[in-house]
Amino acid sequence: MKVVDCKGLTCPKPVILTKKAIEDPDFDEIEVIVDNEASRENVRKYLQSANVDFNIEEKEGFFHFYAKKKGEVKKVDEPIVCSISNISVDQGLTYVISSDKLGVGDDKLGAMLMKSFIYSLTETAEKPGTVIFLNSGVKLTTEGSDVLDSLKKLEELGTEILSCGTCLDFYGLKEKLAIGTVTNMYTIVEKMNATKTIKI
Amino acid sequence: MKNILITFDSTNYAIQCETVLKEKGIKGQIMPTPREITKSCGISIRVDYEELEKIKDLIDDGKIKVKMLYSFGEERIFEPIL
Repeated sequence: MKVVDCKGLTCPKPVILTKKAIEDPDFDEIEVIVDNEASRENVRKYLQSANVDFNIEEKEGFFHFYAKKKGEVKKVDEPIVCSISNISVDQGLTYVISSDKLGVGDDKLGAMLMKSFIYSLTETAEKPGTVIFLNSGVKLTTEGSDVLDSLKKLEELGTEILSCGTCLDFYGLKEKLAIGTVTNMYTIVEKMNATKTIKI
Repeated sequence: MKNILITFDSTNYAIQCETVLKEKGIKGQIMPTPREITKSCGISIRVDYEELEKIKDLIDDGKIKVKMLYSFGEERIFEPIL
């Protein structure tokens, strides 16, 4: 089976390479590998409109498409749009997460609600432009956090992830930051002033 | 990618299940119970489909208490696993 390896490539490259392989007269079966969410969406959209059978498997952070001919391949001449369907990142929206628990009450419940909340962010259409983690919130962006996968997904889709440097230092997590970048209070204040801010 | 969704009768069972999965080294993702399944603010856990046998064993051994298991993939169609 022919393999179209698109690791390290960003849109529109993976779609162009996939299209080339599919429209090749010898096309019967191919595997396409992409390494990011946006390419996965765009290759998926292309394969759907090209009228081929396919399935997607996620393996070690890579998305593998297995595409098979099912009849006449439809030539898709529409321009390739590098965006993810229905997903938008609102640069004017900031979330401030100031605890590793959601809400006030039982800690176990709070921790679970926070995981559920952050997972939901990955699935909703409108993403915040920035998510700022403060105080014990920085436990979510550092090694050992259960929500790193979700935060990685958000970051790939274009959300900026910021952690408060003072807080990382206080909790001894400075060397353990696993996602996003370190920020200071000036940046946090400026972000909050310049955008609609929701405190979680 | 095929997944299993585990739903629960109570949030406490979900918390308990998360702890047990961690102990057993099974990767579980906390997520809200999809609206397709319930309207209430439920907590579910998603695990890889390959873990099905392990999950079944945990249920049989009384280690976790679940309401229902569903299989689902990319297209988010939830099919109960009997």
